[in-house]
Amino acid sequence: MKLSDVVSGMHLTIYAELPLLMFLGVFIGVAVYLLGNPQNFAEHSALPLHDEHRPRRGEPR
Amino acid sequence: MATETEKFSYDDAVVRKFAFATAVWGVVATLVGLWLALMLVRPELSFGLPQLTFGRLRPLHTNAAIFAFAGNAVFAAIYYSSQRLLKARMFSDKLSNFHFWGWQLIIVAAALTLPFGITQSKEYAELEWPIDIAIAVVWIAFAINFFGTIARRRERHIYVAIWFYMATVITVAILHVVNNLALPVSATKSYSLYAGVQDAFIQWWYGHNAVAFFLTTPFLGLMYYFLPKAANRPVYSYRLSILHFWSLVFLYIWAGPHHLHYTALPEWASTLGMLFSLMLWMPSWGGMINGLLTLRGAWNRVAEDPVLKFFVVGITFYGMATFEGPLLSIKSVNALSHYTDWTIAHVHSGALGWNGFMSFGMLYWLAPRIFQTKLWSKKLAEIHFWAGTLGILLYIVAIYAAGVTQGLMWRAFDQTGRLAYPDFIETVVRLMPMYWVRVVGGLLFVSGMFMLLINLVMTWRTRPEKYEESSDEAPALGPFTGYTPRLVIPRYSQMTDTGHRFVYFVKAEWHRVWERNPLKFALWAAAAVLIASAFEMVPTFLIRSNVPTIASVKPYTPLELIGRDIYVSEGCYNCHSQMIRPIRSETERYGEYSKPGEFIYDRPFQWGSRRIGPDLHRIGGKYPDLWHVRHMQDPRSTTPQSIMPAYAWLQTKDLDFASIQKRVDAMAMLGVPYGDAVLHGEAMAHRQSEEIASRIAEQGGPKHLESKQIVALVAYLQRLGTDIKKQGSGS
Repeated sequence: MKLSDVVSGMHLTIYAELPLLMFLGVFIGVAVYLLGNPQNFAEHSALPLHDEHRPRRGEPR
Repeated sequence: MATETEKFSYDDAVVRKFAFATAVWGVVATLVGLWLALMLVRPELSFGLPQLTFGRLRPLHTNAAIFAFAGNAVFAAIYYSSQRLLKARMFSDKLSNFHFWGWQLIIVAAALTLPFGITQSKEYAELEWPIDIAIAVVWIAFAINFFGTIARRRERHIYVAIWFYMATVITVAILHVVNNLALPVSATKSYSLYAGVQDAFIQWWYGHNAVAFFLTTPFLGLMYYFLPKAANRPVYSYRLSILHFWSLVFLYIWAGPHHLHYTALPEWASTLGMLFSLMLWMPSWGGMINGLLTLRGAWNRVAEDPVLKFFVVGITFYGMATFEGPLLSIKSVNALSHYTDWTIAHVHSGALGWNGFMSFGMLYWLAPRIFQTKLWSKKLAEIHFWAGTLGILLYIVAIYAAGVTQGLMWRAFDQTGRLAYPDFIETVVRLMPMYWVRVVGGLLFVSGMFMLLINLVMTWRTRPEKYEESSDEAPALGPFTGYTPRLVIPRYSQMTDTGHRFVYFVKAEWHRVWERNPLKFALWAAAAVLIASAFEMVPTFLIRSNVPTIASVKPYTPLELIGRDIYVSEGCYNCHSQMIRPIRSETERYGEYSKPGEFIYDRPFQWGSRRIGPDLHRIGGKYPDLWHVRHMQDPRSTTPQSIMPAYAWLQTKDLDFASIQKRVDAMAMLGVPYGDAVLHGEAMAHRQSEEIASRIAEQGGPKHLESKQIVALVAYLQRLGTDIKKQGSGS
């Protein structure tokens, strides 16, 4: 039996249903993570603002 | 954990180079675009030169805009922000320079090959195989440099902008390699490993995701770094940015087939593409809202700061383009919009508004910092902003109107049930006023590009004699010890290991580990892309019923094959489709709708994506040979109001008969059943060319064309779409 036989034999809806379920899983996983750790997220959101210690010549202060 | 502070410096020299390259190539890309816009209203502007025809120049415009302008902007953003966010100098200055000069050489190679008709004809992947290999080499050098910098970082947490960059580096590599797999025939010619429907599918998997992972994710990284810097505010919601990231990475890769609705692509793939495109609405708008809300408390500064102005309008265009993209993916909308200028307006609102304005905002913000002096003229930056905004608005409004006009005219029926505008040229003529407005809009945008270049050059001229080195200090990172659930979740320290692992999983603490472990993070991002790709590719390639074979469809003759290569080389696909959709207005206008089995020998496929001229799939046998000769000599002689350039040189340039056998052999290697042609390809081509040349002479046309390119092109055009008519077409 070839792979093409297996793939051809599967019902087409599976190619839409499985990815949707996978996305749902990823979405829920990430959403659950985002419900915790508020302190961390606040720190991380400000990372671009403290990436340099001192302004250089010409740089707006 | 080590706490000793280390001093280090940043490499801003490479950022300066990429910043200048962005402005220079931006001028080139938009100037070529303006020239193309002018050629649509004044086709004689090709001056009868092969190198200046619309078909050859349009890929130069798109490649310059995407890879030269936006590409260099992305690299400037990545090199500047990554070093600072990771608190590390780039891994290797040599690799940075190799990346910069290698990329510029590739762009120059594109500019030297595309106008000479050296092309694979896959949109945004036109460059031939030697340049593709060069791109892969330079990209690998960039990836080593980028991931090497991440490995040497002094900041444990990897900021969300870097995630977007990582997704870009990984996915672009996958897309580039898979889409460009081809069998070389010579140094300047190759045939795609995929044929017909599968080639179309792979191309638009690539094409759509080039937009996603070259023009969206890196620009989102740019937004998440440079917008907070410019506004001096933290990102509005870091949570939203994480959701934004994963949703885009997971969803985008599925959406490619929406470029092929109602074509010979299987229905299930098309529907899946539409569904995932619609789901993209939410994360895209979440990202836009996150960007705009980052400006909370800083809106008063927008009025006086051109950088913020560019960012606000850029992000707004991101919202508009990502609203419109899913809209266009809805099948019923797509039935109207596809092949029309509506798509062109959509693309330009994204490219000029989102990519252009985000790049401009970044460059104006960077200029005083990387040149260590004041911006030469804030006033000029303000004028650039208004010229650019007005230019985009004029451009897209006119072209939206043109697109809807085209779509409605093509499908209009009169009261007797016949096409209201049966002659394609009627729809072309109606668009001319809108095309002129586009020229004005383009002119304004190009003038803005010049203002940017002047402002950058003048700022650079006032630089200090010697740049002060950008330096910083931070403690080195100790080894990462956050892998075990107990350490990750210390507040549950009384629990058993199993309990820890359960909480670790359920509370998705693993994500926090990924955020600190670039290898795991990169692997999961790559997995999301690969799994999604496999889900669409495997069935597309393996389900036999996707492409039912048609007994009467035979390989092209050797002469038709080289004629097809001329069609490819001239970039005819830039204006003509070869895909009649099963829609009544199309079958009435062009003939029987296109079947998947008709394209099994098409390497590369030539379905096209727009119709400046009519579809050609059933052009074979519609006109006598002489009509084609006259039409190519001077399109206005057969269609007085045509905007097609003249291809007079096809009657004077000799056909390269000597290369025919190699082309046939390559096709045979790819599985095309060529039979005797494998031994006698050149002789067969000579025989057929003599037959066609004598027919043309009999019809009253020029004599002795048997050795000229026009004969091969006529042979190919006369074959198009005819196989299916030959017999009962049993499957």
